[in-house]
Amino acid sequence: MRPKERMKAVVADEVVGRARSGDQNAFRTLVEAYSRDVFRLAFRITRNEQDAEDTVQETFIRAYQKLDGFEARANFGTWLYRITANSAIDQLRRKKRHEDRNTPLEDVTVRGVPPGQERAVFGRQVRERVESAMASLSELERAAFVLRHFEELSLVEIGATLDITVSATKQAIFRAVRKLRVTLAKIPRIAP
Amino acid sequence: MKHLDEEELVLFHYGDAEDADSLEQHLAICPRCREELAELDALLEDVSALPVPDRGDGYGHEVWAAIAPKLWRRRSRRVFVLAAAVLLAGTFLVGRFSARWDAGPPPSQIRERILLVALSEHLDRSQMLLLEVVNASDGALEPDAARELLHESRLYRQSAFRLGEVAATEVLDEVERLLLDVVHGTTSGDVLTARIAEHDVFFKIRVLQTNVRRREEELKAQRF
Repeated sequence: MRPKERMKAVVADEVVGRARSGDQNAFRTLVEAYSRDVFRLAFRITRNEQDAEDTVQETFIRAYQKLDGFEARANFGTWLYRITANSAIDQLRRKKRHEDRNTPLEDVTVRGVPPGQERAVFGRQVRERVESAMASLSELERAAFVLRHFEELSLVEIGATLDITVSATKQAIFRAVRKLRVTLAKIPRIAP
Repeated sequence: MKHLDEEELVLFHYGDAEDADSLEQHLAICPRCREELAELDALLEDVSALPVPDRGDGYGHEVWAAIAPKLWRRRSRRVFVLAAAVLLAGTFLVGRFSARWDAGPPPSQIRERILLVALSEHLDRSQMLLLEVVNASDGALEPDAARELLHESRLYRQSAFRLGEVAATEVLDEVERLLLDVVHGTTSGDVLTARIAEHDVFFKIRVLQTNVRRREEELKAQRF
């Protein structure tokens, strides 16, 4: 079982409270504490470093604008999750308007590779296939899948994050896994 | 014997199956389903292996350095827009801002120029956002940007109404209603696009912009 990868940063409620009151130094503390977690989630959804960087900035700018609406009783990390996931989805949609993200990757062949390097090349081939499979998911499917698979949020939490029902959350995850299975089923496996 | 379907396999893998016990009992006696589950586990393990670029300890500091000026600019812009609206109302009270655009004393001209610059910028940004709406083939709109513009537009529209600027009030009202729909997200991009075309919104904005800029030029010329 993978370790839980939710927002790990821990910041005192008092800091969040001061940020809500307009204390810019307190907001800076939050940015510095949560940036790596936000980047990790943003990258997993966008699968692109520049898009993830843009998402990180957009997330904190939105968080700053919406701090007034943040309820003190809520968990700041969970609230930031929601903003990050939705900023990443918006980033993907903006990008989609300008380019086709689903250009299939060329097959990587392992012919002529010395035996000692075969495993490394095979690993790269698998990674590229997985990247290609992830790129075939819609923004919603990708976000729902990442939140369930990597971040291990419950179906209810994912629904709340993406503002969809639990049933729609399940369907998004099913569709994502089905697409991954179809794309990745053809990969042969080598013995460990 | 009823085998596990794909959805049950996925739910079982993630521990989300409501009838986990009965699925487990079936898996214990069904080699075919066990094999299917093992394949799914292996496939999702491959996905887990996707690397995430590491960001060092100083990353938070870098992010802050990048966003701090933007936060400041946004706050400054809000203050500027509010000040512009207050000035507009103030100008109305002294009766200097009207459709006749009579020359007034220098202080009122300065106020008017500030307002015209602010209104011109607001119209530019509104037009750009509406262009985004028209070009958003997947219906992805920008509710946050629209919310900010909506707030500004309301201030300008109310001020224009008080001043009796009928044409400007109508255009700003039209823009405001479109922005409201983008904020609420209840109207599809296609419907909004149709409304923009039907009411010649871009044309009306450009006409208003032209009038605003012409007035700016007039005020500039009056200084000499």
